[in-house]
Amino acid sequence: MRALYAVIGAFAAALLGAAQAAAQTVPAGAPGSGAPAAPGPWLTIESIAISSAGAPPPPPAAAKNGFVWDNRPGLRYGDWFQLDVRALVEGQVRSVDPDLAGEGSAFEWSRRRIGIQGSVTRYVQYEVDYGFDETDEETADWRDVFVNVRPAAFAQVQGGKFKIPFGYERLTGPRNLDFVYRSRVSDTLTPGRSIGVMFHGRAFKRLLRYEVGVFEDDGDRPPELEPIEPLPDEEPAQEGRTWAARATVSPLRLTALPGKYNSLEIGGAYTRGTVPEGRNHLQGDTVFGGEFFDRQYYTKGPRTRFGLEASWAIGPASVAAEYIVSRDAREGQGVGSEAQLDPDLPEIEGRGWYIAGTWVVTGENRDGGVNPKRPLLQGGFGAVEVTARYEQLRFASAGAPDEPPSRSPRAANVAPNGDRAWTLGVNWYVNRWVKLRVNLINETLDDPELGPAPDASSLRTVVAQFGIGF
Amino acid sequence: MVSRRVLARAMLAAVLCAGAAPAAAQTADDLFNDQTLQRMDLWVNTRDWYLLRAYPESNERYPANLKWNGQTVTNVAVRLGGMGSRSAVKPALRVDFDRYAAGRTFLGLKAISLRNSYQDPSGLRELLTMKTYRTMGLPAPRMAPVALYVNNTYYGYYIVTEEVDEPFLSRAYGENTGHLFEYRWVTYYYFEYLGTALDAYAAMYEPRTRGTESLGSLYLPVEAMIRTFSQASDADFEPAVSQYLDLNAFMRLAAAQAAIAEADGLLGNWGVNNHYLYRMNGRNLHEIVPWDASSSIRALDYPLHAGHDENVLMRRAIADPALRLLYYDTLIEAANLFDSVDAGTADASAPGWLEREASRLLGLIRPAMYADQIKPYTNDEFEAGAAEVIAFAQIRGDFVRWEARRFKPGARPVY
Repeated sequence: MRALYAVIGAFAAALLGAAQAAAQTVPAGAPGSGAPAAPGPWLTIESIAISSAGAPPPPPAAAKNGFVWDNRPGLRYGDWFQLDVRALVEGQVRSVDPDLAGEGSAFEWSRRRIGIQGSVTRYVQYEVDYGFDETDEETADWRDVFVNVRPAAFAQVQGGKFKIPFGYERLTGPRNLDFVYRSRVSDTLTPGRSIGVMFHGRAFKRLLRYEVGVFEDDGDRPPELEPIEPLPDEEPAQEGRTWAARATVSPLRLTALPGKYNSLEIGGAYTRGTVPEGRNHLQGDTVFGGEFFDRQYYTKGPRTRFGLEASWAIGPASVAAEYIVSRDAREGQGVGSEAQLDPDLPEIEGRGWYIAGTWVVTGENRDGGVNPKRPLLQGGFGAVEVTARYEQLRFASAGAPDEPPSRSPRAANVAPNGDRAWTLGVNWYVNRWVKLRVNLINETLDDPELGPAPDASSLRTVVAQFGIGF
Repeated sequence: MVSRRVLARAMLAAVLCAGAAPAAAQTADDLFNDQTLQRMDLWVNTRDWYLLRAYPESNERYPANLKWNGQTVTNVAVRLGGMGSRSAVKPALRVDFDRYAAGRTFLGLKAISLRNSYQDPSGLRELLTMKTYRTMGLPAPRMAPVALYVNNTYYGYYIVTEEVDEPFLSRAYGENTGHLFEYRWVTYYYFEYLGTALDAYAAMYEPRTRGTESLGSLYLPVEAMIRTFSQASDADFEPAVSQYLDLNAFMRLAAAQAAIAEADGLLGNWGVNNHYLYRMNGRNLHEIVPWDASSSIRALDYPLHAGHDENVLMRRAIADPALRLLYYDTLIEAANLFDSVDAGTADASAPGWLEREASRLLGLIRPAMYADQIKPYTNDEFEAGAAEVIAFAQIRGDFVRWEARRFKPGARPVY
């Protein structure tokens, strides 16, 4: 309950603070501010790259040195130093049906983060971010810690810990997500953060954007790998480096369409890494809770991912879609026959897609994030957006279709399973800092026997999440 | 110069080729056909095979493919088996067909055991003992000799054994939905009453079916049965115990075990051991199924009353005239079986059934034994063990018959 009271208190403070701040500062993106519309209170590494890539860093909102409040607390010393303090607190109440644990609706923290970001001269940007995404505070960790050097817009180098460039939704920061949870395919098949170096840039007037990087491992999604116990005289299993590449194009920028309609972005991405031998394939998690395809099978060798993505904000509406395929190799993991001992097995393939649409009922533009025209307590009600998404994710063997499916950890044809889900939601942007999301999610598993509720034909989750961030 | 090992392998290959049967329309009876030495192949990932043997105390299951008589079953599970026969060198194995695919069977079987004959240099004792029980009409697992290959390497002589599980129960009792328990030897135990605490019974009887049920559902009838063994009055003993235990079947099995000189069975040297307990669905009646007969056929003059005084159930049952008569009649029945000659043989001195079976099986398994380089005994010890069994088969019938007639109710004393 203390946590709930804390959130309610912070919520009220944010509302009051917003009203006062509105009288003191000129919002970024507002006419005359000189700054582009902020993509949202919580900038991602991608948004840093984007915002810094196409043009010189924007001048401070006000020509004031020292402490400033420009949507968030910060320090400004001319063009050569900028520091912004960022924070995000999200909590949620969710209930599931069937309620296997008998817990009813319970409050839990979903994200608590604090960090700084800014620039040193016009050529260096940095970000440091600490926090946790789970109820369990044990998961607290340094999240993004990186420096980006930008000698030119089309040739930048970023080093440190940050998200491996793969997946539109994965690279979207939590405050800019349209739904409480990322799609299953994005949540499950994309790699997350790792330590590495990335070359990236933007060219041809933002028509093309690219990212190429090498990272020390396959990222923190999934978080825990279980290397197999080495045999005598065997080197311990090691996780190998991951290479990643992503490119997007915005073809409508070549047309004469007004800016609010030409944001269509189409892209593709690829990663290749090596995970240690063990039961380390990607696993399928339900929103409901629990796995529908757990880490039952031994893998060894390369993990590859391939993704296609498209997103388009058209005035108050937006549509986004992704298609992702992952493959985990199983070199030498078979049980053999007269002909061959320990044969290679077909890869375990995760394949999924989603399509999502949003519409801001109150008319604000979607491009760059929804910024309420008339925030609550400032003469309005904020902005309201309705959302919908359909998605599918399925895991299976990429071969051996003639063999009966099995749960054997060395099965050639693993027991497949898939999750199909639709989500309906409403987002309420109270002001630029406070956001409330409510989602109804219905999941149907191909094989409920392998899921968390074998007797249930569908799994329903209702979740209300409120977040405060600057 | 051809080495003895190569020669033994060649002989084994010839025997296996001769015994190969057509692959069509095979059944569990074909698998447990002890008229031939069968070949069985297992393939296990080399890492798993190493780990299985590196941790002999573990019951971890590993995936495998199994091939028998031209049929390959993929994605079976193997684990180390056995208690006294547990070995990392020549592992006894349990093979589950349904571990990774619920409900899957092979030849109608959920699982089989591959027993390693670790404690029996003759390799014959279990085959002959279980066959004796079955021939006498007592429910007992089927067995057959096999030459086992693991990852294309010969692993030696094994005995493929029917598991006591639901398919076995269906075959033996016509139903399989009751409570099946495997007896786990914990200490010397003689069916004495252990009190009302069910944990004491749970420690000995491990559920093999319906294991998720409550302790009371599983063990209250067991506690009541064992309490009745001790507390039923003499006059009421037979009807009272018969509510919980098929006493006639128990007496016949005890007699058969005495006849075959089973030193580690219901009335053996280590107390109660080596059996399953099955309670019919919806009833309190229990049946006993024998298991692991590697300590049988030990002594030509193994006493027919071994364990009677120590074992509460046997001490009281043998005091019942009808049950006592049944016990001795069954002993004589076993003795007659041991000595029965072929129907077409007029010569009464011709080898009896037990000797004929022992000799036949010996001829069958000898090539497999000789080619087996990891068995924990020498070929000479194998031959010596086999000779003991043959001698037992020749003499035991007369001994049992003689002793049984001495003690049978109403029999004239024999001096």
